[in-house]
Amino acid sequence: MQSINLIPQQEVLEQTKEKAVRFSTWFSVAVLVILGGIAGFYIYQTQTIKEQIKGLDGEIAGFRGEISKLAQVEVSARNLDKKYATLKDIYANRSLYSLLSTEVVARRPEGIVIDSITLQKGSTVNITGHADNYISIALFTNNLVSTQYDKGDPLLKTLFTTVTLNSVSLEKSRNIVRFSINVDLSLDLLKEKISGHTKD
Amino acid sequence: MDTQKIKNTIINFLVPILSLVTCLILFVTVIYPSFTRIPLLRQDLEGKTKLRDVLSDKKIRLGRFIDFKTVLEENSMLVNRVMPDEENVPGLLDQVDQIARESGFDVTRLSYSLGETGSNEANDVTYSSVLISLGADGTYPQMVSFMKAIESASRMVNITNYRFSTGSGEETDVLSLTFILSAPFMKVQSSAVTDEPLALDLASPDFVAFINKVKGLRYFEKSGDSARKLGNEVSPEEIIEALEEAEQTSESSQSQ
Repeated sequence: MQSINLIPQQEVLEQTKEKAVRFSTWFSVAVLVILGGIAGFYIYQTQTIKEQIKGLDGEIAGFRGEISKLAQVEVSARNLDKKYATLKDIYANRSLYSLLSTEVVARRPEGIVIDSITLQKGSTVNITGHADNYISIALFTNNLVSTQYDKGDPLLKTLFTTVTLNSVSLEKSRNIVRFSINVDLSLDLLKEKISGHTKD
Repeated sequence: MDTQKIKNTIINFLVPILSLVTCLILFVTVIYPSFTRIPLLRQDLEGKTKLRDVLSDKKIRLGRFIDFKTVLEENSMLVNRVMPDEENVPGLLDQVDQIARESGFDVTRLSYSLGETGSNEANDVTYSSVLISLGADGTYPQMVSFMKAIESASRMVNITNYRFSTGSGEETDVLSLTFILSAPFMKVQSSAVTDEPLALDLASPDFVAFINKVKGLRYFEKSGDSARKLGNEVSPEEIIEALEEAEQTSESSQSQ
Protein backbone atom coordinates (compact mmCIF):
# COMPACT_ATOMS: atom_id res chain seq x y z
CA MET A 1 0.00 0.00 0.00
CA GLN A 2 1.44 3.28 -1.01
CA SER A 3 1.80 5.92 1.79
CA ILE A 4 0.65 9.40 1.10
CA ASN A 5 2.38 12.43 2.66
CA LEU A 6 -0.31 14.69 3.77
CA ILE A 7 1.97 17.33 5.36
CA PRO A 8 1.63 20.55 3.48
CA GLN A 9 4.67 21.78 1.55
CA GLN A 10 4.91 24.95 3.69
CA GLU A 11 5.08 22.84 6.88
CA VAL A 12 7.92 20.74 5.40
CA LEU A 13 9.89 23.91 4.64
CA GLU A 14 9.24 25.22 8.14
CA GLN A 15 10.49 21.96 9.69
CA THR A 16 13.67 21.97 7.55
CA LYS A 17 14.36 25.59 8.52
CA GLU A 18 13.88 24.76 12.18
CA LYS A 19 16.33 21.83 11.90
CA ALA A 20 18.92 24.06 10.21
CA VAL A 21 18.58 26.72 12.92
CA ARG A 22 18.89 24.11 15.68
CA PHE A 23 21.94 22.46 14.10
CA SER A 24 23.73 25.74 13.37
CA THR A 25 23.04 26.94 16.89
CA TRP A 26 24.44 23.82 18.53
CA PHE A 27 27.39 23.73 16.17
CA SER A 28 28.34 27.40 16.64
CA VAL A 29 27.94 27.15 20.40
CA ALA A 30 30.16 24.06 20.41
CA VAL A 31 32.82 25.88 18.36
CA LEU A 32 32.55 28.88 20.68
CA VAL A 33 33.02 26.67 23.73
CA ILE A 34 36.05 24.95 22.21
CA LEU A 35 37.68 28.22 21.12
CA GLY A 36 36.82 29.75 24.47
CA GLY A 37 38.62 26.87 26.15
CA ILE A 38 41.66 27.27 23.94
CA ALA A 39 41.71 31.02 24.53
CA GLY A 40 41.46 30.45 28.28
CA PHE A 41 44.33 27.98 28.17
CA TYR A 42 46.51 30.43 26.25
CA ILE A 43 45.66 33.30 28.59
CA TYR A 44 46.53 31.10 31.58
CA GLN A 45 49.82 30.00 29.97
CA THR A 46 50.83 33.56 29.09
CA GLN A 47 50.03 34.82 32.55
CA THR A 48 51.90 31.96 34.22
CA ILE A 49 55.03 32.50 32.10
CA LYS A 50 54.89 36.25 32.67
CA GLU A 51 54.68 35.71 36.42
CA GLN A 52 57.62 33.29 36.30
CA ILE A 53 59.66 35.83 34.31
CA LYS A 54 58.78 38.55 36.79
CA GLY A 55 59.90 36.31 39.66
CA LEU A 56 63.16 35.51 37.86
CA ASP A 57 63.80 39.21 37.17
CA GLY A 58 63.57 39.83 40.89
CA GLU A 59 65.96 36.98 41.69
CA ILE A 60 68.42 38.12 38.99
CA ALA A 61 68.39 41.69 40.29
CA GLY A 62 69.08 40.37 43.80
CA PHE A 63 72.00 38.20 42.65
CA ARG A 64 73.44 41.04 40.55
CA GLY A 65 73.35 43.32 43.56
CA GLU A 66 75.13 40.76 45.74
CA ILE A 67 77.73 39.95 43.06
CA SER A 68 78.49 43.60 42.34
CA LYS A 69 79.38 44.01 46.02
CA LEU A 70 82.09 41.37 45.43
CA ALA A 71 83.43 43.05 42.26
CA GLN A 72 87.06 43.01 43.37
CA VAL A 73 87.04 39.28 44.08
CA GLU A 74 85.09 38.68 40.85
CA VAL A 75 87.71 40.48 38.74
CA SER A 76 90.54 38.64 40.42
CA ALA A 77 88.86 35.22 40.08
CA ARG A 78 87.82 35.80 36.46
CA ASN A 79 91.31 36.87 35.42
CA LEU A 80 92.78 33.84 37.18
CA ASP A 81 90.22 31.63 35.44
CA LYS A 82 91.09 33.07 32.00
CA LYS A 83 94.81 32.65 32.52
CA TYR A 84 94.34 29.15 33.91
CA ALA A 85 92.25 28.08 30.89
CA THR A 86 94.73 29.63 28.45
CA LEU A 87 97.80 28.20 30.14
CA LYS A 88 96.21 24.76 30.37
CA ASP A 89 95.61 24.92 26.64
CA ILE A 90 99.17 26.10 25.90
CA TYR A 91 100.69 23.43 28.17
CA ALA A 92 98.56 20.77 26.50
CA ASN A 93 99.71 21.81 23.04
CA ARG A 94 103.34 22.76 23.50
CA SER A 95 106.03 20.31 22.51
CA LEU A 96 108.94 19.64 24.82
CA TYR A 97 111.81 19.73 22.37
CA SER A 98 114.30 18.84 25.11
CA LEU A 99 112.79 15.34 24.94
CA LEU A 100 113.37 15.26 21.19
CA SER A 101 116.99 16.38 21.50
CA THR A 102 117.65 13.84 24.25
CA GLU A 103 116.00 11.03 22.31
CA VAL A 104 117.95 11.77 19.12
CA VAL A 105 121.21 11.47 21.04
CA ALA A 106 120.03 8.34 22.84
CA ARG A 107 119.40 6.62 19.52
CA ARG A 108 122.63 7.78 17.92
CA PRO A 109 125.14 4.95 17.47
CA GLU A 110 128.92 5.30 17.94
CA GLY A 111 130.57 7.09 15.06
CA ILE A 112 127.67 9.41 14.23
CA VAL A 113 128.15 13.14 14.76
CA ILE A 114 125.06 15.32 14.50
CA ASP A 115 125.84 18.63 12.83
CA SER A 116 122.42 20.20 12.83
CA ILE A 117 118.83 19.68 13.81
CA THR A 118 116.26 21.90 12.16
CA LEU A 119 112.58 21.91 12.95
CA GLN A 120 110.51 22.11 9.83
CA LYS A 121 106.88 22.95 9.26
CA GLY A 122 104.43 20.37 10.54
CA SER A 123 105.92 17.47 12.40
CA THR A 124 109.13 16.96 10.47
CA VAL A 125 112.66 17.53 11.63
CA ASN A 126 115.75 17.62 9.46
CA ILE A 127 118.91 16.09 10.90
CA THR A 128 122.27 16.43 9.23
CA GLY A 129 125.54 14.98 10.37
CA HIS A 130 128.50 12.88 9.46
CA ALA A 131 129.72 9.38 10.16
CA ASP A 132 132.81 7.24 9.74
CA ASN A 133 131.02 4.84 7.45
CA TYR A 134 127.74 4.07 5.72
CA ILE A 135 126.80 1.31 8.17
CA SER A 136 126.59 3.78 11.07
CA ILE A 137 124.15 5.90 9.11
CA ALA A 138 121.99 2.87 8.35
CA LEU A 139 122.13 1.86 12.01
CA PHE A 140 121.14 5.38 13.07
CA THR A 141 118.10 5.50 10.77
CA ASN A 142 117.08 2.01 11.93
CA ASN A 143 117.46 2.98 15.59
CA LEU A 144 115.29 6.04 15.10
CA VAL A 145 112.25 4.12 13.88
CA SER A 146 112.80 0.92 15.85
CA THR A 147 110.18 0.35 18.54
CA GLN A 148 112.38 -2.38 20.02
CA TYR A 149 115.23 0.05 20.75
CA ASP A 150 115.66 0.01 24.52
CA LYS A 151 118.27 2.66 25.27
CA GLY A 152 115.90 5.59 24.82
CA ASP A 153 112.96 6.84 26.84
CA PRO A 154 110.39 4.00 27.05
CA LEU A 155 107.58 6.55 26.64
CA LEU A 156 109.08 7.78 23.37
CA LYS A 157 109.47 4.42 21.61
CA THR A 158 107.23 5.52 18.75
CA LEU A 159 108.36 9.15 18.63
CA PHE A 160 109.98 8.83 15.21
CA THR A 161 107.49 7.49 12.70
CA THR A 162 109.35 7.59 9.38
CA VAL A 163 112.87 8.42 8.28
CA THR A 164 113.68 9.63 4.79
CA LEU A 165 117.30 9.67 3.70
CA ASN A 166 117.72 12.88 1.69
CA SER A 167 121.38 12.67 0.80
CA VAL A 168 124.55 10.78 1.59
CA SER A 169 127.88 12.05 0.26
CA LEU A 170 131.45 11.00 0.82
CA GLU A 171 133.91 13.70 1.84
CA LYS A 172 137.16 12.12 0.86
CA SER A 173 139.47 14.82 2.26
CA ARG A 174 138.28 14.07 5.81
CA ASN A 175 137.29 10.47 5.11
CA ILE A 176 133.76 10.99 6.42
CA VAL A 177 130.28 10.41 5.03
CA ARG A 178 127.85 13.32 5.30
CA PHE A 179 124.15 12.62 5.53
CA SER A 180 120.87 14.48 5.69
CA ILE A 181 117.66 12.84 6.86
CA ASN A 182 114.09 14.00 7.35
CA VAL A 183 112.32 12.45 10.29
CA ASP A 184 108.57 12.55 10.87
CA LEU A 185 107.59 12.82 14.50
CA SER A 186 104.60 11.78 16.51
CA LEU A 187 104.34 15.21 18.15
CA ASP A 188 101.72 14.10 20.64
CA LEU A 189 104.40 12.19 22.52
CA LEU A 190 106.27 15.44 23.12
CA LYS A 191 103.23 17.15 24.56
CA GLU A 192 103.26 17.93 28.21
CA LYS A 193 100.67 16.38 30.45
CA ILE A 194 100.05 18.44 33.56
CA SER A 195 99.33 15.43 35.74
CA GLY A 196 101.85 12.65 35.20
CA HIS A 197 103.57 14.30 32.25
CA THR A 198 106.26 12.61 30.25
CA LYS A 199 109.01 14.98 31.21
CA ASP A 200 111.52 13.76 33.77
CA MET B 1 9.03 41.93 1.62
CA ASP B 2 12.66 40.87 0.99
CA THR B 3 13.94 42.96 3.89
CA GLN B 4 11.47 41.28 6.16
CA LYS B 5 12.75 37.92 4.95
CA ILE B 6 16.36 38.88 5.72
CA LYS B 7 15.39 40.20 9.15
CA ASN B 8 13.60 36.94 9.89
CA THR B 9 16.61 34.90 8.79
CA ILE B 10 18.93 36.99 10.96
CA ILE B 11 16.62 36.64 13.94
CA ASN B 12 16.40 32.87 13.36
CA PHE B 13 20.24 32.51 13.10
CA LEU B 14 21.10 35.15 15.72
CA VAL B 15 22.79 32.73 18.13
CA PRO B 16 25.03 31.06 15.50
CA ILE B 17 25.96 34.44 14.05
CA LEU B 18 26.87 35.87 17.46
CA SER B 19 28.80 32.72 18.34
CA LEU B 20 30.82 32.81 15.15
CA VAL B 21 31.59 36.53 15.54
CA THR B 22 32.73 35.90 19.12
CA CYS B 23 34.87 33.00 17.86
CA LEU B 24 36.46 35.28 15.29
CA ILE B 25 37.16 37.98 17.87
CA LEU B 26 38.62 35.37 20.25
CA PHE B 27 40.87 34.01 17.52
CA VAL B 28 42.11 37.42 16.37
CA THR B 29 42.61 39.01 19.77
CA VAL B 30 43.62 36.09 22.01
CA ILE B 31 44.41 32.78 20.35
CA TYR B 32 46.61 33.86 17.44
CA PRO B 33 48.67 36.49 19.37
CA SER B 34 49.16 34.02 22.26
CA PHE B 35 50.10 31.26 19.85
CA THR B 36 52.89 33.42 18.41
CA ARG B 37 53.95 35.06 21.70
CA ILE B 38 54.17 32.00 23.96
CA PRO B 39 57.29 30.51 22.26
CA LEU B 40 59.04 33.88 22.64
CA LEU B 41 58.02 34.11 26.27
CA ARG B 42 59.23 30.53 26.85
CA GLN B 43 62.56 31.45 25.23
CA ASP B 44 62.84 34.48 27.46
CA LEU B 45 61.98 32.36 30.49
CA GLU B 46 64.61 29.79 29.55
CA GLY B 47 67.26 32.52 29.07
CA LYS B 48 66.43 34.12 32.40
CA THR B 49 66.39 30.76 34.19
CA LYS B 50 69.88 30.07 32.83
CA LEU B 51 71.08 33.53 33.84
CA ARG B 52 69.59 33.05 37.32
CA ASP B 53 71.41 29.70 37.63
CA VAL B 54 74.67 31.26 36.40
CA LEU B 55 74.40 34.12 38.88
CA SER B 56 73.39 31.81 41.70
CA ASP B 57 76.37 29.54 41.00
CA LYS B 58 78.63 32.55 40.68
CA LYS B 59 77.46 33.96 43.99
CA ILE B 60 78.21 30.65 45.72
CA ARG B 61 81.64 30.48 44.08
CA LEU B 62 82.45 34.09 44.98
CA GLY B 63 81.39 33.35 48.54
CA ARG B 64 83.90 30.49 48.58
CA PHE B 65 86.59 32.77 47.12
CA ILE B 66 85.99 35.21 49.96
CA ASP B 67 86.49 32.35 52.42
CA PHE B 68 89.73 31.39 50.65
CA LYS B 69 90.84 34.87 49.67
CA THR B 70 94.47 34.26 50.56
CA VAL B 71 94.53 31.07 48.47
CA LEU B 72 93.00 32.98 45.55
CA GLU B 73 95.58 35.76 45.87
CA GLU B 74 98.45 33.32 46.17
CA ASN B 75 97.27 31.33 43.14
CA SER B 76 96.79 34.54 41.14
CA MET B 77 100.32 35.60 42.01
CA LEU B 78 101.73 32.22 40.93
CA VAL B 79 99.81 32.24 37.65
CA ASN B 80 100.85 35.85 37.01
CA ARG B 81 104.46 34.74 37.20
CA VAL B 82 103.80 32.22 34.44
CA MET B 83 101.70 34.56 32.31
CA PRO B 84 102.03 38.19 33.37
CA ASP B 85 99.60 40.98 32.55
CA GLU B 86 102.23 43.00 30.71
CA GLU B 87 105.08 42.13 28.35
CA ASN B 88 107.70 42.74 31.08
CA VAL B 89 110.45 42.39 28.47
CA PRO B 90 113.36 43.23 30.79
CA GLY B 91 112.38 40.51 33.26
CA LEU B 92 111.83 38.02 30.45
CA LEU B 93 115.15 38.68 28.74
CA ASP B 94 116.85 38.54 32.12
CA GLN B 95 115.32 35.10 32.75
CA VAL B 96 116.38 33.79 29.31
CA ASP B 97 119.85 35.26 29.72
CA GLN B 98 120.25 33.72 33.20
CA ILE B 99 119.14 30.31 31.95
CA ALA B 100 121.45 30.55 28.93
CA ARG B 101 124.45 31.45 31.06
CA GLU B 102 123.66 28.85 33.72
CA SER B 103 123.48 26.25 30.96
CA GLY B 104 126.95 27.31 29.88
CA PHE B 105 126.03 29.17 26.69
CA ASP B 106 128.06 31.98 25.33
CA VAL B 107 125.24 34.32 24.32
CA THR B 108 125.96 36.07 21.04
CA ARG B 109 122.59 37.61 20.32
CA LEU B 110 119.43 38.34 22.27
CA SER B 111 116.67 40.38 20.71
CA TYR B 112 112.92 40.56 20.97
CA SER B 113 109.81 41.74 19.19
CA LEU B 114 106.18 42.12 20.17
CA GLY B 115 102.93 41.42 18.48
CA GLU B 116 102.22 37.76 17.96
CA THR B 117 98.73 36.98 19.14
CA GLY B 118 97.29 33.65 20.04
CA SER B 119 93.86 32.63 21.14
CA ASN B 120 92.10 30.03 23.14
CA GLU B 121 88.96 29.52 21.09
CA ALA B 122 87.23 27.31 23.62
CA ASN B 123 87.20 30.18 26.11
CA ASP B 124 87.13 33.06 23.64
CA VAL B 125 90.30 34.47 25.14
CA THR B 126 93.18 36.09 23.29
CA TYR B 127 96.71 36.66 24.45
CA SER B 128 99.84 38.24 23.04
CA SER B 129 103.42 37.04 22.95
CA VAL B 130 106.92 38.41 23.07
CA LEU B 131 109.13 36.77 20.46
CA ILE B 132 112.77 36.32 21.40
CA SER B 133 115.64 35.45 19.14
CA LEU B 134 118.59 33.95 21.00
CA GLY B 135 121.91 33.22 19.36
CA ALA B 136 124.52 31.37 21.38
CA ASP B 137 127.49 29.05 21.25
CA GLY B 138 127.35 25.92 23.34
CA THR B 139 127.63 22.15 23.36
CA TYR B 140 124.85 19.64 22.75
CA PRO B 141 124.43 18.73 26.45
CA GLN B 142 124.34 22.45 27.24
CA MET B 143 121.62 22.88 24.62
CA VAL B 144 119.51 20.10 26.18
CA SER B 145 120.08 21.57 29.63
CA PHE B 146 118.98 25.01 28.36
CA MET B 147 115.84 23.54 26.78
CA LYS B 148 114.91 21.72 29.99
CA ALA B 149 115.47 24.86 32.05
CA ILE B 150 113.42 26.98 29.65
CA GLU B 151 110.59 24.44 29.76
CA SER B 152 110.49 24.54 33.53
CA ALA B 153 111.01 28.26 34.08
CA SER B 154 108.40 30.18 36.04
CA ARG B 155 107.65 32.64 33.25
CA MET B 156 106.33 30.53 30.42
CA VAL B 157 108.64 30.48 27.43
CA ASN B 158 107.93 28.18 24.51
CA ILE B 159 110.56 27.00 22.07
CA THR B 160 108.95 27.96 18.77
CA ASN B 161 111.89 26.87 16.66
CA TYR B 162 115.52 26.00 17.13
CA ARG B 163 118.43 24.94 15.06
CA PHE B 164 122.10 24.44 15.52
CA SER B 165 125.11 23.74 13.42
CA THR B 166 128.63 22.70 14.22
CA GLY B 167 131.07 25.57 14.45
CA SER B 168 133.67 25.95 11.73
CA GLY B 169 136.52 26.42 14.23
CA GLU B 170 138.73 23.83 15.85
CA GLU B 171 136.28 23.10 18.67
CA THR B 172 133.91 20.76 16.88
CA ASP B 173 131.90 20.18 20.09
CA VAL B 174 130.81 23.80 20.12
CA LEU B 175 127.57 24.39 18.25
CA SER B 176 126.24 27.62 16.88
CA LEU B 177 122.70 27.70 18.24
CA THR B 178 119.67 29.75 17.32
CA PHE B 179 116.47 29.66 19.31
CA ILE B 180 113.22 31.40 18.55
CA LEU B 181 111.28 31.61 21.78
CA SER B 182 107.86 33.00 22.53
CA ALA B 183 106.55 34.12 25.88
CA PRO B 184 102.81 34.73 26.23
CA PHE B 185 101.26 37.49 28.29
CA MET B 186 97.65 38.48 28.75
CA LYS B 187 96.17 41.85 29.41
CA VAL B 188 93.47 41.44 32.03
CA GLN B 189 90.18 43.22 32.60
CA SER B 190 89.94 45.43 35.63
CA SER B 191 86.17 45.90 35.60
CA ALA B 192 83.62 43.41 36.84
CA VAL B 193 81.41 41.52 34.40
CA THR B 194 78.52 40.43 36.55
CA ASP B 195 76.58 38.20 34.13
CA GLU B 196 79.54 36.18 32.87
CA PRO B 197 79.80 32.69 34.37
CA LEU B 198 82.78 31.76 36.49
CA ALA B 199 83.93 28.18 36.07
CA LEU B 200 86.96 28.38 38.32
CA ASP B 201 87.00 25.89 41.16
CA LEU B 202 90.03 26.23 43.41
CA ALA B 203 89.51 22.73 44.79
CA SER B 204 89.08 20.86 41.48
CA PRO B 205 91.74 18.16 40.90
CA ASP B 206 92.67 19.72 37.53
CA PHE B 207 93.26 23.13 39.05
CA VAL B 208 95.17 21.71 42.02
CA ALA B 209 97.39 19.70 39.63
CA PHE B 210 97.96 22.84 37.55
CA ILE B 211 98.88 24.94 40.59
CA ASN B 212 101.21 22.21 41.84
CA LYS B 213 102.91 22.22 38.47
CA VAL B 214 103.25 26.01 38.58
CA LYS B 215 104.68 25.79 42.09
CA GLY B 216 107.28 23.35 40.79
CA LEU B 217 108.53 25.79 38.15
CA ARG B 218 111.77 27.58 38.81
CA TYR B 219 111.51 31.26 39.57
CA PHE B 220 114.39 33.48 38.50
CA GLU B 221 115.07 36.48 40.67
CA LYS B 222 116.15 39.58 38.77
CA SER B 223 119.89 39.42 38.39
CA GLY B 224 120.25 43.15 39.10
CA ASP B 225 122.45 43.84 36.11
CA SER B 226 119.79 43.20 33.55
CA ALA B 227 120.64 46.42 31.72
CA ARG B 228 123.87 44.82 30.58
CA LYS B 229 122.08 41.81 29.26
CA LEU B 230 119.02 43.38 27.74
CA GLY B 231 118.56 42.79 24.08
CA ASN B 232 117.32 45.35 21.64
CA GLU B 233 113.86 45.41 20.15
CA VAL B 234 113.61 44.26 16.57
CA SER B 235 110.72 43.62 14.23
CA PRO B 236 109.28 40.09 13.93
CA GLU B 237 110.64 40.01 10.37
CA GLU B 238 114.16 40.53 11.71
CA ILE B 239 113.72 37.53 13.99
CA ILE B 240 112.69 35.40 11.03
CA GLU B 241 115.66 36.78 9.10
CA ALA B 242 117.94 35.76 11.97
CA LEU B 243 116.58 32.26 11.76
CA GLU B 244 117.10 32.14 8.00
CA GLU B 245 120.60 33.52 8.42
CA ALA B 246 121.35 30.77 10.92
CA GLU B 247 120.00 28.24 8.44
CA GLN B 248 122.29 29.57 5.71
CA THR B 249 125.25 29.47 8.09
CA SER B 250 124.33 25.91 8.94
CA GLU B 251 124.15 24.96 5.26
CA SER B 252 127.43 26.67 4.41
CA SER B 253 129.23 25.05 7.34
CA GLN B 254 127.98 21.69 6.15
CA SER B 255 129.16 22.27 2.61
CA GLN B 256 132.66 23.14 3.84
